Order: sequence, then structure tokens, then C-alpha cells
Amino acid sequence: MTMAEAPTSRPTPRAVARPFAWATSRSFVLAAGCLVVALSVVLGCAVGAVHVPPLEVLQSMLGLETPHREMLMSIRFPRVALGLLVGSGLGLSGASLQGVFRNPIVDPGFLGISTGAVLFAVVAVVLGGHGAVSTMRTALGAPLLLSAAAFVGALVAMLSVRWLATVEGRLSLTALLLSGLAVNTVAGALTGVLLYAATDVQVVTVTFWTFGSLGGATWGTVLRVAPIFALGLVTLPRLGRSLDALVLGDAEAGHLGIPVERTKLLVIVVSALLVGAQVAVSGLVGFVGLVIPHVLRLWAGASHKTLLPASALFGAALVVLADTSARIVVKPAELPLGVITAALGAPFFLALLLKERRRLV
Amino acid sequence: MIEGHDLDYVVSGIQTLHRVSIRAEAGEIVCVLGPNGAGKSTLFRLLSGEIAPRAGKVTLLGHDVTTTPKDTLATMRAVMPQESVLSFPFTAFEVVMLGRTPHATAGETMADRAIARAAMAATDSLAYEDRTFSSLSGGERQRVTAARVLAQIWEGEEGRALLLDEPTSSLDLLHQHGLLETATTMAERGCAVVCILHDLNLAARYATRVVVLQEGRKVAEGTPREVLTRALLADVFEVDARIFVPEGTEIPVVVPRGPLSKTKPPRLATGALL
Repeated sequence: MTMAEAPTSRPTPRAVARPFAWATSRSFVLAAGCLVVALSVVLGCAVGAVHVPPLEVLQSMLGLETPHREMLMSIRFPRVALGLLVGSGLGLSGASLQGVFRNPIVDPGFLGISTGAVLFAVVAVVLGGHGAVSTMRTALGAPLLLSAAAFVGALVAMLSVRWLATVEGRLSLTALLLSGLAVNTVAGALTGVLLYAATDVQVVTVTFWTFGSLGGATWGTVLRVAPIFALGLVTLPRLGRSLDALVLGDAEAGHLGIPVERTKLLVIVVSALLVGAQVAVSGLVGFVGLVIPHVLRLWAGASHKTLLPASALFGAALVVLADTSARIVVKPAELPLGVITAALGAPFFLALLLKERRRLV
Repeated sequence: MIEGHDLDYVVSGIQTLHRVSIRAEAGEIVCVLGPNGAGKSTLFRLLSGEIAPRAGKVTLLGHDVTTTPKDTLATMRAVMPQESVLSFPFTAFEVVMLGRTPHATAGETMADRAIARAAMAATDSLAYEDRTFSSLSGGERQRVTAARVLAQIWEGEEGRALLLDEPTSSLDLLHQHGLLETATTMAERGCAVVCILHDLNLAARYATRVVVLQEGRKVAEGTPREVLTRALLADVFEVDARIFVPEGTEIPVVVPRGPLSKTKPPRLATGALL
């Protein structure tokens, strides 16, 4: 008996070839992602209080002299660049945390990771800076200090949630969401207490964080936090193979030769770095890390080899587009970015919750 | 080939294994039998290297499994768990491809995909390769999991080990035998197979040797014919059973007649429930 012919097998015809298999392939999904990112960049630079024709945007990018070059270079380009960084970080950290927590409902926002980051950033502003970081402008001028504080906050929140939600060595989904709620509440309350000790200017800064915005982005901000996002973009997408194996369970992944603890630690630390940097420069921007991986799983399948890079691309595009609409919906005023992403993401979360609720019991 | 030597294991102050030794050579199927709580699963996790023994050691081709790098180990031995639960929509084929993880370090190749497909054919699971793993029935999931494990150590000669933890628990009769036939083929090709089973007749039919555990101790070892006796079934499993050996075979057939009277549940008066 040969192995290929199973002792029990009937003739098993190869399943009918799916008609649009190419449309779910890794290269197609990633190419589509790059295209969407390019389109969102052009749109994000062209649209706003002042309309700039897309052709002129492209000419300015190439360094040609154009009528709006000054405005594009100093305001729109850095803002879109920051949007790309923030969005890719949100998509990537969402997708990889979901892999490590083995749960599609994980999001830095729900688990209190972002609120933890905000709390620590506020602590840095209120306690550390009656001088250097006391206003929003100067706060954004010191993004590394804030990122460091927010990173510590994100890490503390993430480890607390993980510790609280682990019952007999296994993560319980109910406990995970409840601990997220608890950490969110505690961090929110402490942030509120700190506001009493804050000056009026500091209160404005904190409000900026709680709603999320890309306003005030400068090249200085972009360049200072870019290395943190670059670190995330280089390390996390390489973990696709390990995260796929981890889906089977810790023991099974170990049997497949995956360094389980090292992978988890790497994802947790790098995600905390990404969330910390993202919160420091743009405040609370919810749901991106939840919605993007979920849609991509429906489209391209669950494998993290595609999911991780695609989440970075589509997350970046989504944040740039959301920020663009934040600028034009109530023109000439601006809506907070966090409000736009929440408006897009909340219905999604409800749908996901309805689908998953049987497992929550 | 794969050998556990004088294994002791202690969990929260209770010793669950006492100096248990087990050994499976290439070509052998060794079945581990015993009642619930006898220490079968602990022994299994020790053999797989998932946990470390308090005393004794487990070796695979002479290498200590607790010190051998995990990725080296992964190319030599595969472990089939009792059940798998996936929270993400992987297809059956993708799950089987996960078995190729230790080999596909530089990306998956056509050869990996061919092996995955052959392993699925061997467990009769090709028909639903494109379906989501979590949408499959318990038995179908078990066949896909078996295919994943087979794909992990499909190629290669001697020096491979296959560890199966109740691999037939959700399977219908045909696929129970199909799976153990496949395990036999793997053994013939140089694998050492260690398998936990509850069905004594399946063990009698396919095991080259059986090891019986009771309360963390090894109480019997030998061919099914030697070990599966009426006295052992009474002592270890506390059932009253008849053993038949059909003429011309060496394969005993166990026919349990019921629990020994000392453990008989109290009888309900007829009609009491109506």
C-alpha cells in the first residue's frame, strides 16, 4: 500500500478550482494594498481647506515648483506621512496582537493598551513639564519623550490585562474583555485625576489625546518617530510563520519548532512600542487595528504571512483617508480623527460581537 | 529510538508518574493503555518534550529532548493532540500546511504542497481541503489534524517518531482502522509510533507492544496477547471481560461484560424515573 493511496480513500476529485483564486493570492492583496496607499496619499494631499489638483501634488512630490508647494511641503505632506506611519502601526499591532492572544476581537483600544499609553503620556506632561512639554506644540516637539512614556504605559496595560485574563494558563475571552474594561476605566479615571493638577494649556493637550488627531504634524515629529515605526514594520511581518503556528496552541507551536515565548514577547514589546509612539503623536485612534485585520481575513484568508503586511498597508490607507475626511466634513473646521475612525469602526465591532457572542458565554 | 527512562513527574505536590520507562524502536507501534488518571497524558507530554520530568530523561535517537533545539526536534517527531480549536478561519489545507512549518523555513515549495496533499489523501480528508477548519465536524477535524502531523514527518528514513494522543476518539469505525493502518505504514517506513488508546481491541489489532499504566506506575508491558488478560482487565480497568483469541491469529479480542460488582452503580428501581 502506498501512502498516497489511503487505505480508506474513495477517489477524491481535486476540489473545483475557485473562480477568483487569484484575487485572494498574497501578491494580489499586497499589490492592491500598495495601490490603495498611493491613491490615499494623493487624495490626502489634494483635498482639504484648499484644493490642490492631484497633478500638482505629484509635481510637488517630484520637487517641481508649483503654486501650493509651500503649503504642501510644510503642512499636508508631513500630515499624510504621519498618517501612514500611525495607520500602519495600528494595523500591524492589531493583527499581531490578535495572533498572540489567539483572538480576533483584540484591539489596543479595547484592552486598555491605548488608554494606558495616554495615562503615562499625561503623567509625563503634567508632572514632567511645566516647561518643555507643557503645550501641545512643544509636546509634539518632544515626541520621543512622550513615546517613551506612552510605551511604558502600553506595556504595563498589556501585561496587566494578560495577567488578569489568564485563568489556569489559558486566556479566557470573557476575562480578557473584562480586564480590558477594568484597565480602561482605571487609566481613564487616573487621567481625569491628573487633569486637576494640570494647567489650562495642559488640559487642551490632554483633550487632543483623548480624541485623536493628526493636526500639528511637522516633519520634525515624523522623522523622530519614524524609526520606531520602521522597527515595527521590519520585525513584525517576519513573524507570519510563527504566528500561524501559534494559532494551533502554545504546545503545538512548540512541537512545530517555533520559539513560542520569544515570539510572544517580541510581539508584545514591539506592539507596545508602536502603540506608544502612535498615541504620543496622534492620541486615541480606535478600531483601525480591529477592522482592518478582520476585513482582510474575510478577503485573503487567515494566514499571517499575508495578513501582517496587508494590515500595515490597508491600516495606513484607512488612517490617511479618515484624516482626509476629518478635514473636509465640517470644513473649514476639523473633526477629530478618533471620532471618524470610531464612527467607521463601532458598527463593525457590534457586528463582530454578534458573530462571536456565542463564544463569549 | 524514542525512549523515556525512569520518568518521575510531580504536579502540585502529587507524584503523577513513578519511574516509568517506555521505549519505541523504528517500526514499532507502542500503545499506552490505562484507566483515566493513570498518567498516560503526562507520559505523553514528557515524551513530546512539552514538559520536563523531575527525574529521568527522554531521548530521541539518543538526543535529550529537553536540550535539543526545538526546530531540530520538529523535523524528527510529530505530536498529534487530542483536539485542536482554531479561532481564525484557516482552511483544512492551510492547517495541514502548518505541519510543513519546520521544513518551509524559506517559504513553502511545490514539494511541501504535494506532501500536504498526500497526507490529506492518507487520512481521507482531501474532499474538504478548502473548507474552514472550524466548520468541520469533530471527526473531520481529527482527520485533518492527523494529516498535519503526518505531513510534518512525511519524508525521511529512520529516526522519526510519531506521538498520537487518542487519535481515533472522534472517528467512525472505518476511519479508526484507516488511521491506524496509516500509522502502521509510517512504522514500516522507519517511524517509531507511540499511541494512547482507549479501545483495547484497536490496540490489540495494531500494537506491536502495549504498555499499561495504573496510578502513575507501569504495571504491564508486552505483546497484546501477553498483556491483555482477564486478570489484568479486572485489576487495572475493574471490568469483567472475556478474552478470545480467534484460531490462527495472535490477536486477542476483548469482550467486556460490565464493571466488576464492587464498583457497580446502585440500581434504580424500575419506574422510579417515570
